[in-house]
Amino acid sequence: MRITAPLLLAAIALGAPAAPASPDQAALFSEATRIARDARTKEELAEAIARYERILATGLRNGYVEYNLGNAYFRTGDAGRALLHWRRAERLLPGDPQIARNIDFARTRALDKFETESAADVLAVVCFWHAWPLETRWHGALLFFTCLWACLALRLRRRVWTLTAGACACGIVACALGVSAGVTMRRDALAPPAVITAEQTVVRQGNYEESEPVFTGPVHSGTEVLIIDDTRGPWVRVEFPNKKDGWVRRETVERI
Amino acid sequence: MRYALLACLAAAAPLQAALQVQATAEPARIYVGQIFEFKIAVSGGELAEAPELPKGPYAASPMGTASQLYIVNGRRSQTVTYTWRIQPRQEGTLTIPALALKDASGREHRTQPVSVTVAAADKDPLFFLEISGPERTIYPEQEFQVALTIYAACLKPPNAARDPFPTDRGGRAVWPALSIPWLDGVEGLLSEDRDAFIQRLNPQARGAGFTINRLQLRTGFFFDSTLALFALPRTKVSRAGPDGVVRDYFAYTLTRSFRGKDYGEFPIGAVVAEGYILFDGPSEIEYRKVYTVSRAVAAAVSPPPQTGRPASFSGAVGSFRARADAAPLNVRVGDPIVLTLAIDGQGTFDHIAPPALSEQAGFEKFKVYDQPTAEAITDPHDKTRVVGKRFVYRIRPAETGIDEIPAIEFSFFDPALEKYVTARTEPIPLSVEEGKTLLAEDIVTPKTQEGPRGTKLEATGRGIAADYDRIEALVPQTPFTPWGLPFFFLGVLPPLLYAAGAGALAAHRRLNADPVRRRARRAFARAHAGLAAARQALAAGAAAAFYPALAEAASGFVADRLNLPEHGVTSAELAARLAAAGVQDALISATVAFLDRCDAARFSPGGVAADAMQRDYARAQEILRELRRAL
Repeated sequence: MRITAPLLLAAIALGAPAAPASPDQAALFSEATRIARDARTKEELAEAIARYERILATGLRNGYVEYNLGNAYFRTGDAGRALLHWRRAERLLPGDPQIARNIDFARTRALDKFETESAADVLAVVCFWHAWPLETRWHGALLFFTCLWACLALRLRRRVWTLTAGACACGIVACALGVSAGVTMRRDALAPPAVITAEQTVVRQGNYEESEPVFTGPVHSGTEVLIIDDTRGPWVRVEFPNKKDGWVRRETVERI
Repeated sequence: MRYALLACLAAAAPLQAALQVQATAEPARIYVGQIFEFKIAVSGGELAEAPELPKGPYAASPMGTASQLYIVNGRRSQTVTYTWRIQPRQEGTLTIPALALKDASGREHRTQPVSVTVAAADKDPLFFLEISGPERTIYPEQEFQVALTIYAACLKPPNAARDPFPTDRGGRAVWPALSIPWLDGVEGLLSEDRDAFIQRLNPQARGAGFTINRLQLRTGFFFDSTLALFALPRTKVSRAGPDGVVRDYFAYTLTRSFRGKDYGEFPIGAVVAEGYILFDGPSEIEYRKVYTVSRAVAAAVSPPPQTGRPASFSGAVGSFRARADAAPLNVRVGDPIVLTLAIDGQGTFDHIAPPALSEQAGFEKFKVYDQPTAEAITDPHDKTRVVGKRFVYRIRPAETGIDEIPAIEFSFFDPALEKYVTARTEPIPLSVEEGKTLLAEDIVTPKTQEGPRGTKLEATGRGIAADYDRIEALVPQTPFTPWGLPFFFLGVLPPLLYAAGAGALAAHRRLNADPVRRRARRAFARAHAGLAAARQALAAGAAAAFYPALAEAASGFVADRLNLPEHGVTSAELAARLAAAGVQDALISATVAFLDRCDAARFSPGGVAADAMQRDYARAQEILRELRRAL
């Protein structure tokens, strides 16, 4: 009873619905969706964007608002900020098909194409689950981890090969998913993902304007990068999908 | 000897597999205008390329290729036969020379020369055929007629109105039989449906008429059929015969229309008539056998002329109309517009290429994708009949101020007029605003016209999904964190539970592993069971069973706790072991006294009172409790 009660309370708290948005937030959201729906001009879309951003400025974190904001930005032609907010929405609503579709679409339209190493391609095929959402991998790892212990517990009473095999299988899957999720979490912690939001920017070898450019041309809005050094004032060191890195102005990139 | 045999077999093997070519013609004797088939059979291999006939005094049209596979005694062989229909243009001996054909390895093989005797047709002045065909080169879709006229000399009065053909003994008229090779159509030409053409000739089962190609007519009784008789239209003319003598003739005519389809020269075979005719003899009407062949005709179909060919000519030959539709008509710069060009009319639609809009006047203000989707327009009542073709373009206005989609020019060659005609669609009014939304073309999917039925539609995979507008969705959300309750319940709790369970199980097994300790642990349970048996005996008033049960419970408990033998332990031994175990003397004395009391009561000849038994039971409980504390 002493253990059961806190667990029960925790379970109830976990399943309890979150507090609804305030009336002001709801009104802003309705207004913004209506304006966005009827918008025919860039200025009208800007009004919708302003309202969505006011909602977020109140401290509300909501994937649907981020998603709609991304849509509005995309319609104004700002593919970088659109992708930024869709990626933020994806973090709050992992697995949402509309968000995933928009992100895929935005990636197909990215102006900058980077060639990845063939070894990375092979790894992506072999470790196919690494492309799954982080939440899916993590919860999958936990589930198989639980199954592993269940098999081991049953095996204490009765040693049969099926339980041994089951435990091994669950252990392998849990390990694969867990390691994959761990790698992603560590990468996100060390090198948080970001998006180039400036229309275009030159990536430089060093953190000063006179430094030589890394690429033959500027990178454009919507390019996804990883921030690997965020401690140099107005300059940020970013890594590109082809593992090349360089420095860009802080205002040209936004962390997801 | 053995090596010689092997050498022979080795030499024979290639001979079996060697390529062989053979040319044949059938029939070997024909009349001028008739058609024979020329075949080249290739066996034992393949030619590097299909054979071609050299030019000569004949019209030849290829009939295609047939392939036959033979397996004899497990040996597989294949023969490929190339066939031509050849119509000689002159009488005499037509020789098709040896053809040099190369196989895949470049080795040359020669056919043997093939000769066909072409005899001049009989020139009977009383019965002859005339045929007229296209007198000059025609164009695809251009119609021409092949007219066959059968001239039969009229009899003299009083039989002048009678058809000059005999009757058999049953009184039935026997007219000549016609063999018309183009009844089933002509390769490379379009013509009316065969059955419809025959029905138009009004075949009869009875009466009088020519037979054609030995066509049968069902008479309606089961499967009975009879030769169809064709009473062709008859007129009386006076003209000169083949011999130059002017006579009265009955002219029977048969006409069939053709249209050009493919480019080339296509022989239209000569007609053969065979039968009997009547003629005026010196004294009476006589009859005689006739066999006559008409002149041969051929149709040469040529492509539309180069002269006067407009730039927008799309390869269409026929008579067409063009119309255009577009949607949407209120757009911004860069917005896509679906422009549909529909072409219908009379002609062949297979080879109509889509007009290149980017090269047409007025479309320089648009971004045009010149690779439209094409689909056939079919007759709503007959889906197999193609009545037009539709091209669906995507265009985008490149600037403001455009007020219309210009007329689209579609040029075709009209074979009836024998000249090129350019059809123009009506301009479509259009409103183009300034493009205020960047990349709008990727966001806005225009409403297109309803797709044609049966067209396979594929997802474009373009554009973004709709906004969310449910207020209920506006709740605070937190990003994913790995260290939440799921981690506690699924990641931490299971190993802890497993560890606890495994530890308990191990302790349990360890305890059960020592029989002495297991016996000592179960001592009180056994004593309790003994007391229960004593309680039952007490309730039954059976002293003989009561006291042994009590003694068993007490002594058994001590024996289990101190690992003594189950039976045969005396009171003195018991006292000594209890003392060794550190039990107080008072309890030892009480226990020994109680056991002695049980022995005495068990063997008491006068029995024991019920209240004494009750007291002894209570005493046993008390002693067991004390012993449990002490041991």
